[in-house]
Amino acid sequence: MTEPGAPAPEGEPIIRLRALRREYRMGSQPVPALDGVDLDVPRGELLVLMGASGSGKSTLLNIIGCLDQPTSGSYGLEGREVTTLPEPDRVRIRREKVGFIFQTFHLVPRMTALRNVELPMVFAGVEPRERRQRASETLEAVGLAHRVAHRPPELSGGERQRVAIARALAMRPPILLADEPTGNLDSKTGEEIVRILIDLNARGQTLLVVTHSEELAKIGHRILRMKDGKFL
Amino acid sequence: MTPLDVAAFAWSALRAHRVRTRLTCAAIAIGTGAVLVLTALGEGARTWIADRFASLGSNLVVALPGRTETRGAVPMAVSSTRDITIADLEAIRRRMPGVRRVVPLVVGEATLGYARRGRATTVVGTSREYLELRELRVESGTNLPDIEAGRAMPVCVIGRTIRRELFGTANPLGERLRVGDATFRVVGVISEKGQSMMVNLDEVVLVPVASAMKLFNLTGLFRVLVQVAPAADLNLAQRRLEALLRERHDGELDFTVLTPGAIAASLGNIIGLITAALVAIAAVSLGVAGIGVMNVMVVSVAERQPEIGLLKAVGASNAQVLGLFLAEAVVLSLTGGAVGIAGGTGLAAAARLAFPDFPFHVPPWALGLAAGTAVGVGIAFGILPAARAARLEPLESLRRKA
Repeated sequence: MTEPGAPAPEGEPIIRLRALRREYRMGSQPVPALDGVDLDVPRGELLVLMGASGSGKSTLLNIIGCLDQPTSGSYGLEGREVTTLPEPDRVRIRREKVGFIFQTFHLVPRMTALRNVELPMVFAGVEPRERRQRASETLEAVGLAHRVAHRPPELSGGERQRVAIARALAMRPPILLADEPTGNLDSKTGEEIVRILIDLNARGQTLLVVTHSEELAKIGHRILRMKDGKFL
Repeated sequence: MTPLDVAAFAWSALRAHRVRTRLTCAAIAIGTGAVLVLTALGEGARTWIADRFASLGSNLVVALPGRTETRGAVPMAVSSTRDITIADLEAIRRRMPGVRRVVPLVVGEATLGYARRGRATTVVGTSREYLELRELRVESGTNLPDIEAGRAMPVCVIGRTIRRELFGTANPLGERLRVGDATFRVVGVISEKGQSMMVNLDEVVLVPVASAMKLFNLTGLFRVLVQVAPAADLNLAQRRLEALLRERHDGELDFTVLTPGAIAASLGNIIGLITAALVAIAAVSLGVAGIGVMNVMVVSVAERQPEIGLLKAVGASNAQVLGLFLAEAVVLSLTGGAVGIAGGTGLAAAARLAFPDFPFHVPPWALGLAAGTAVGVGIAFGILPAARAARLEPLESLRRKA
C-alpha cells in the first residue's frame, strides 16, 4: 500500500482533490465533514475508502459524484475544475462521467430491470432503440440476461444490485462510485458483486468503493482510511 | 427524453397507485362531464328558441290590437280597444319608410268539406306576401292572387295535410272547397315546412284577408306583420310603426308593437347567461377536482423523494424532473377529462333519445374546450408539486426513507 493521498505515479490523475472542505451547519456551529482532503486518483485505479460512520467517506464520494458541493477547495475531474461549474454542467457530469452504486440499490420498483438500466440514457437523450440495445447488453454483462423483464420486487438482493451496477455502467462513465455496495447483501451474494467489481476494474474501469467491510477493502489497489474528515 | 418516455413514466407512476388515480380521475370526469352536459343543455335551449323564432323572420315588427303591459306578458285589454283595420294596413304600406312587406293576418277555426269528407282546421286570412315572408312556396298551383287587401275573393291555398286528407291522390287544383258557410276554389298547395310559431302550416287554409274577415264576421285584423330590410334598425321601425298607428288611433296606445327577432335575441342572451352561470358552477367542481390532482401530486412527490433523488443522481436535470411530474398531473387530469367527455357525450346522446324534439347536442367546440380545460387543470394544479420535485436536493432526497 502507498502513502495516503499520495499522487499517482504515472499519467494525469482522473480525479484531483486539493484542500477539499465540506462543512455542515448544526445550529450555529459549522461541523466539518471533510477537513482539507488532498487526493489523486489515477485512471484505472480501484480505490477503497474506509472509516467509521461520519468519518466523511460518503461525503467525499458524493462530492466526486457531483451530488454534493464542497464548501471550499478544488476538485479537478479529467483536468477540469468542477467546483466552479454551473448546474447544467454538473448535471452532465452526473450523466456522463460518473456511475453511482448505492447500498440500497435505489431501483425504481415499478420499472423492469431493462427500463431501470435505460433510465440514465433516457435523460441523456440516447435513441430508444440504441439504449434498449445497450441496456440489454449491459444486463447480460452482469449475468442478468434472463431477468430483463422482471421488476425489482421480483428480484433477489444480489440481482437488484447487479441491475444497479448495469444502470451505473449504462452511460459508460469513466468513474464508478460504489457506496457500501455489499452492505445490504449476505456474504455469498456480496461476493458475486465483488467479483463483478473486480472484473470491471480489471478491464480498466476506475472504481471508488466506500465500505466498512475489511473483507471488501482487500480488493483495493489502495485503501484510504478516514476519520473526522481526514485521511489517517 | 422523448414525449413517449415522459408519458410512459407518468403512466407507470399513476398505475402504481390505482385507487387514488381512479378517484382523482373520477373527480375530474365529473367536473368535465358536468361542464359538457350543461353546455349542451344551454346550446340546445338556445337553438330551440332560435328555431322557434327564425321561422318568423328576424327583421319583423308585429302590430296587434290591445295593450300589452311592458312589465308583464299578460295582455291587458284596455277598455277602448280599437281594431287595427285594413285602412291601418294600407296606411303603413303607404307611409312607413323602409318597409319590404306588410302582411295582414286573421285567424279562425272553420270546418272544411269536400265531397263526403270534412275536418276542422285553422283558416288564415292574409295576402300573397304571407308565404313569401315565411319563405315558403306553393308546390303546385299558384299563391293567393295579387289583389287589394280590402277585396274578398273565393280562392284558397291549402296545406299538404289538408290536401292529403280531403283530396287523397286526386288533383285539388280548381276544386271547390267548403270553408264554414262559404265555398272557395283551391288554387295552390303549400310546400312542406312544418311547424311555424305554433301553427302547423301543413294543416291550414290560406284565403284573402277580406274573405276571412267576412267568413268570421270580423272588423279588425289579428296581426299586422311588417317586414323591414334585413339590416334595418328594428327599434327604429318599432317606434315608427307605433307613432303611425298612434296617430291613426287618435293618440291612443291601444295596440302593441312587438319585435320577435329582438325578443328571440334577448331570450337567447338570457339563456346564454343562465348557461354561463351553470357552467361556472360546474367549473367550480372542476376546480375542486384540480385540487384533488394537486393533492395526489403533493403526496406522490413526497413519497417518491428517494426516486427523485435517484433520477437526479443518474443525470436528470431539474427541467426533466419538472417535465416528468407535470406530465403525470396532465396525464391524470386528461384521463379523467376523457372519461368525462365520453360520459357527457353519452348522456347528451341519451337525452336526445329521450327528448327527440329538443336539439340537445354537444357542440364540437365544447369537446375541445373540455379537453383543453382538463389539460389546463393538470398544468395549473400540477405545476407547484412538480416544481417542488424539481427543486429537491438529490443527496437529501436519496437518503429520505421511502
